[in-house]
Amino acid sequence: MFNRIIIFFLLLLHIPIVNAQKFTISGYVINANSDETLISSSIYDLNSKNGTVSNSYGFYSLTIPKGKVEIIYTYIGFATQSKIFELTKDTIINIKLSEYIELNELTVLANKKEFGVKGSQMSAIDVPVSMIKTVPTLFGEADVLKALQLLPGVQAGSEGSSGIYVRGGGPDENLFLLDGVAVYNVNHLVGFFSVFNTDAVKNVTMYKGGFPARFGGRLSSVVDIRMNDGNNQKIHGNLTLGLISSKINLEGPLFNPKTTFNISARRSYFDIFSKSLMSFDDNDGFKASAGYYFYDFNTKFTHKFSDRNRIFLSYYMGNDDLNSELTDSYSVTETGSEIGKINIDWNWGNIISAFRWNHVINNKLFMNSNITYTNYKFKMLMGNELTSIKINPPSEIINSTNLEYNSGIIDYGLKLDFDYMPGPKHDIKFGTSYAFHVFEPGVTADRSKNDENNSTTQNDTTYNNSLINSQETILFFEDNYSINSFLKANIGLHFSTFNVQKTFYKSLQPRLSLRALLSDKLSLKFSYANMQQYVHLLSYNNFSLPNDLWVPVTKKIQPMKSNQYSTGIFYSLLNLIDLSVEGYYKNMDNLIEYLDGSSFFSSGTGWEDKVAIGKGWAYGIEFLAQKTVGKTTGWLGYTWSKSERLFNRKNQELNNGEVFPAKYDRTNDLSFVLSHKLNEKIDFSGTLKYSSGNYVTLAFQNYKGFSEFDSKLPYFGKRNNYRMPDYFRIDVGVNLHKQVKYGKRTWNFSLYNASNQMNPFYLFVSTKKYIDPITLKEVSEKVFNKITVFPIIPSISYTYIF
Amino acid sequence: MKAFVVHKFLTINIIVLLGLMSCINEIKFNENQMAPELVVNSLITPDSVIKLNLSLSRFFLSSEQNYTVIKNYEVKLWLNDVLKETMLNKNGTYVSVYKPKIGDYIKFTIKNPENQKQTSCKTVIQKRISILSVDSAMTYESSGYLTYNDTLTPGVIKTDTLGLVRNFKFNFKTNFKDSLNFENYYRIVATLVQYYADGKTSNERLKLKPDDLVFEKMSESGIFDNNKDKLFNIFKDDTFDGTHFGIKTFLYLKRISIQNESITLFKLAGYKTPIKTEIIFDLQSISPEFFKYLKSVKENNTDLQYLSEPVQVYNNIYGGIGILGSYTHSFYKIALSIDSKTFYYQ
Repeated sequence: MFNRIIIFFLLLLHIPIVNAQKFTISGYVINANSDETLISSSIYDLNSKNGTVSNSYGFYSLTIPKGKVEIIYTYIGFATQSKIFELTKDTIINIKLSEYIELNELTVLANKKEFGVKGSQMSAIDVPVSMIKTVPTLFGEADVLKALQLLPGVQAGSEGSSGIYVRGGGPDENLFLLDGVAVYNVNHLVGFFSVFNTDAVKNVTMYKGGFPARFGGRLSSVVDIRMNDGNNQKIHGNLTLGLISSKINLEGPLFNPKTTFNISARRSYFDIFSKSLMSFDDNDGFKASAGYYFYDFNTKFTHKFSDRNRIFLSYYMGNDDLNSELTDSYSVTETGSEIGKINIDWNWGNIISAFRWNHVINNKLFMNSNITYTNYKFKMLMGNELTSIKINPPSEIINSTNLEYNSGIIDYGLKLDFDYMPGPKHDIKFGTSYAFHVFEPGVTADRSKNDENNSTTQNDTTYNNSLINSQETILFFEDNYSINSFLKANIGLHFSTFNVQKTFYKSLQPRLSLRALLSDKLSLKFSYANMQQYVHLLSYNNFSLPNDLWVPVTKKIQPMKSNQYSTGIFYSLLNLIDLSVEGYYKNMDNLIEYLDGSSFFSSGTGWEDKVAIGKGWAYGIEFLAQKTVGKTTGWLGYTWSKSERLFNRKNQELNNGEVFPAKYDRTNDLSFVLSHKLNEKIDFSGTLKYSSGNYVTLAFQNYKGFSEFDSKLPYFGKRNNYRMPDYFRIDVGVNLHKQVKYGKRTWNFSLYNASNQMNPFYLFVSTKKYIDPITLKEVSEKVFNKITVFPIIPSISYTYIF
Repeated sequence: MKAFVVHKFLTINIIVLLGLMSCINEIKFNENQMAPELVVNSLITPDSVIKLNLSLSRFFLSSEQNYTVIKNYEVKLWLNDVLKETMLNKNGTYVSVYKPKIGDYIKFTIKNPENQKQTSCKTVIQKRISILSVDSAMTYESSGYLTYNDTLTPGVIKTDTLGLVRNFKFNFKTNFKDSLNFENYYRIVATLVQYYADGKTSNERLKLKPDDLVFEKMSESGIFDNNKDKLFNIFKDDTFDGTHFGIKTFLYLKRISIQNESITLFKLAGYKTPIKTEIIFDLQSISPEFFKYLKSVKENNTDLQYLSEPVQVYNNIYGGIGILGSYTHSFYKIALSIDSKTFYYQ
């Protein structure tokens, strides 16, 4: 099988030399202001009606018949350029495009080649970083994932969280790639912010279905995020001061224009400014204090040896720390006292780095090679000390317990991929990659000490799930093939292997996207993607916490699999607004969930014993109207969907082995995003979000059991038996720009949840006490409460760009 | 100690994460839409009359402390699918005349006289698995003095020594023969029985701790298991089907040796020493439903409600909730050596 695939690839390499009457125009599409390469820019020959798009590194290659050519280069937000000349030989053109505001129709039409009406790709969207930066967000902190959550088919997790749930999939089924390297934890502040600093980001593309063969390893989505390379002309930067964090970005040439750097750093100062707010002392022995901070640091260096060779070194480091301390003196009597102390420290973060070499082998063949490293660690410390002092007889007993929990994942990777453009009808990508994964699926250390009148006994126990090493290999091939003007197809195969615990898994995953162009403005598309996933995230359902645990497939736990079928109709309205309606059906197998009552705390038994394996399915319809050009941009998206789960394997039954709704199954989801540039000084933006509420499992009844075992028992009925109230939110923001000495400053004012909707985050029961106005006696009443984390939140930020 | 950690951990994290910005609002519930369920509870053992309790579940926001007991339903007992009798209602406990036997297929149909709604449940009385022997070993662990405050002299608080307390660890291996090709479920319990000269006895259910891999992993919450006291000691015969097997358990007991001069004080305080002390082991062969019920009751660890999936307690009542289970006993006694000045307690 493997040999056949290799032979198939080799044969394909010989496709080019078929027509000697054609020549190739190749090169890079570059931002004239910064020499930053432009991804997915359009290159189109008006005479031969052939075109292509630049790849993830800005490289393009267009092979067309010799003779007079009129090449149009376009990219959203940039002035179109054309080149008219006589094509008599292979030609290299590195084109520089300048930023421009007003765009003509052709620009719009051409640039949507890949994802719009004419492209074969469906269920994918490019979200301009400029748009992401204008979307009003919590605390004014522009956020990539928050913007993606507003797309149809993409659901947010809990209120304010950055987790995404795509087309009924789980939170672990999304592949986040930062410059091609997988990011395992994408959250800061327990999910309220993502780790992606928009200042460092150049391009964001999201795939929800119809996955090209170059992507794999996750069932539900791929979010491909590319970092800025850095301006090679002069040093630029910006500084943003926000309510809870500040960030700085600096980019420019390093020693000479061939070498550039881009550095971004961000840190929250919630811990500094809120120190007094987060401290509590009731002057009666109870003291509490807490703090939280996060930081992240992105850097990228590029060096251009020649037009053929470039190297890149990118590095990301981010960390979060949540700590708290509590002291409680109680039971202070004449005979003695007790003092309890607790300290808690949660710490988690990623390190991601990649070394990349881009090499133009010839004007039709582009090579990209990578060495990558990614490391995600989570550590939790909980210390507890209880001191009992007795007066008669005098004694002091100190009991202390320190619990430590560690988990993480480390990947070492090698990747080699090629873009091969033999002619205007074929755009071939193929390559291979290898990753060595080291999983640390949870180690709990329990250290306790008992000091009784200076006589000490100690216990140091480690409950260890041993490290698991695994190797993943991928081989892919895809051809974006223009069969004729009516039909275009992206046909691909993704072959992967996973070797873990002497178990070898392999999978050949076919991919297909088809487009039928009914007119210049209307097309029908269909796609099929078979996906397989070798890593799981053990995630407790109610909160999105960093203790979510990445674990590999094992002998016992099989890889997750999915088949997704999508079909849709795409229409370009006035060449300005892209309209699409897509329907999808996805079935998933080998999904895992914690068994009832299981939690991430290890008891020495393996995590495999804590999970159930089951299946799921999701289906829905998505509507999207998107305008990406002009002074007014934005989109309107609506999704109707359903996502269900069935866990009925023997001894692994959830919900008594019956079908239950997925936690984030939301029947209705509506998003409206609007941004309007009034003039050079003022722009406005706003978002509206409405969706059905999350599911939770609640015990609405309790009942009598046997007193010998437990006399009061909860009755849930079914898992996910209650849908929280609907979610609704309006955010608004305004940016005020002004040219100042040495640069430009921007004030951003925004209101998150401007309508002050009390959206539920968590539900709980409490006891309310009040004085009955008639009897004047204190009455206790149990009430059901919802916690709203973010009511109306105004924010302000200041940005200085130089 | 650990409960303290968990509770404070949750409290402080919720303060940190939500405290500053959050708002709390009440969600109104229409209790009428949450009709109570009929709760049926009965555990049947051979050669004893059947007792079945009916009650209603309670709305989770109800301030009621007691459950409504159902006294007017019609409960019919079916033996091997043949109607045996209509059970007598004694203040909400429905009692049979028939005493079931091993192997009986027991079914109940319960009818609500108001709406004629029928609820049913069934079980099979398990085969008895006899304890063949119990091997025991006693290990001395530590000792200390039993002290008290002497308040006989007004105004003077004095600590005096009453006796010596020795802590012992007892290891047991309870031997039995499992029945072949039949899925057996077990529970083992132990009771400390002390016999006194006046003919009275005292019983203390012992905290018998599992010391064998075959015991059901009752909770995955590990070191945060706040339900450790729920020592149900259940296991099944997956690994020893049809063989002779010895299930290992252990427990701790304190043995008090009263000092001669303190005997009077003890007697004044109403204490007495037994003339005979035994530990009675009870190997119960339990029905699969009862096994699942106990497992889920144990896993229903409310102290971890924020950090784990909620647990639905197993129920096998069609048209209601609760449990109908069965079990058969097999007893085995071992005597503990005592003298006139010693007694045991846990």
